Amino acid sequence: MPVSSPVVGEPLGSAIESLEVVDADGHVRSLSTVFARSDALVLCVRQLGCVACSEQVALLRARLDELVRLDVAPWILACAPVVDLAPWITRQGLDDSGIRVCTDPTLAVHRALGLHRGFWRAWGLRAAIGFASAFSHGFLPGRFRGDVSQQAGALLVTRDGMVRALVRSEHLGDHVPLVALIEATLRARVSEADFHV
Amino acid sequence: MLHSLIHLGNVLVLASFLVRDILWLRLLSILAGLSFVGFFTFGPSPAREPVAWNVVFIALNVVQIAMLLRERRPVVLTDDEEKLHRAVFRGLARRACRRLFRAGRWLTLDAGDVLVAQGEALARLVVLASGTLRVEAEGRTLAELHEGRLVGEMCFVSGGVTSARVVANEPTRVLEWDSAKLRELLDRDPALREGFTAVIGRDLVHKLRSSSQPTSRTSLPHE
Repeated sequence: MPVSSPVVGEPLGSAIESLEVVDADGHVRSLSTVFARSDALVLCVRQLGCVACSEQVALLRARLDELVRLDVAPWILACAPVVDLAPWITRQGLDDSGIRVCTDPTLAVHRALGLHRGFWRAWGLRAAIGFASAFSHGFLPGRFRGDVSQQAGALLVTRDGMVRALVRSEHLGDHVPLVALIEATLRARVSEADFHV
Repeated sequence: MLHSLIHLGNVLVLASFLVRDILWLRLLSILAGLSFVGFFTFGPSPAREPVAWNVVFIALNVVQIAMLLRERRPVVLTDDEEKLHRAVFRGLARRACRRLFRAGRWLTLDAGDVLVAQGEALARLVVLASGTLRVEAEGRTLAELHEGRLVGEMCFVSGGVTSARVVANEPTRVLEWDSAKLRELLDRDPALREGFTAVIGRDLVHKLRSSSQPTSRTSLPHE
């Protein structure tokens, strides 16, 4: 049964929370555990050889301290087989980084979030420009691992279960605007203050 | 002599390919262009087209060099700006900082001056450069703000009206931005927006952590 897409400003909903992902050790966990204790930012990446996703991960790592300070748990959700996860994590320098990585080869979560998927989104002109841009910044492509047509995205859920931001990348190379997600976190944090100035 | 200008030009092009600094590359390209212009103007076989194209290349490089030199000029900040840069905006490039500081206006408050009124739809963001401010509501002091702290960042981030007022405890110097103008500036400069968001995040987290204390003293860690 199809799960309706989350809406910004509304609760995530139990249908999505009950979906399952697998971590690098092969442990199956439901999405509800991802959003259990703190705010969580889930960055959905494309197939693991994606050069633009390597750049996106580097951008996420650059803002890791800021996310941790704001008590946001960063997650990466791949769409590749579990067996490919560990080498990719090492290649991206994510071992012991504080960024947790899991995967959903069935794409059920990606579909539930309404992330885009399509041939030309991965092979069209805009995708080629995205590829060239990441390549020019020093990132190298790897072997295709996962769904090649699946596009990236991000979901920010605060500890109260509310969806604060949902980003769906249109094409390969469309980076998730991390600063906008951090601003969404700040808006959520402001409500916790004793005074509003 | 004029015949050798074509070789000189090509040697300069070659040299430009070997340097890594874009400024030197452009300078060598200009010298190469001048050699080609000389050769095709006064040499054995004058031709207008190569001269015209090389004049275009030279003009383009001159403009780019002027922009590069402008970017590379050392950034001079005033004492107040220097202090704020070190205390609050050290993650931002000095040039970006100067742009940010020049977009705001400096204010000096006397003890007892009200910086922010309670119930105000605040359209300003303020950073405290020196002195102290107190946040109070219903006659109770909720927090004391010291150098480097922001005022108005909550309204800047999420809108709404102020639930407390902010008063100067002593002669105090602040830098104030109009929220709309600041937002415009940040939208134009993604790196500045990222850096500024980080500053707001740091400040907000500090205030939230301090808020459990009866009268929180919020200041930067170095104080």
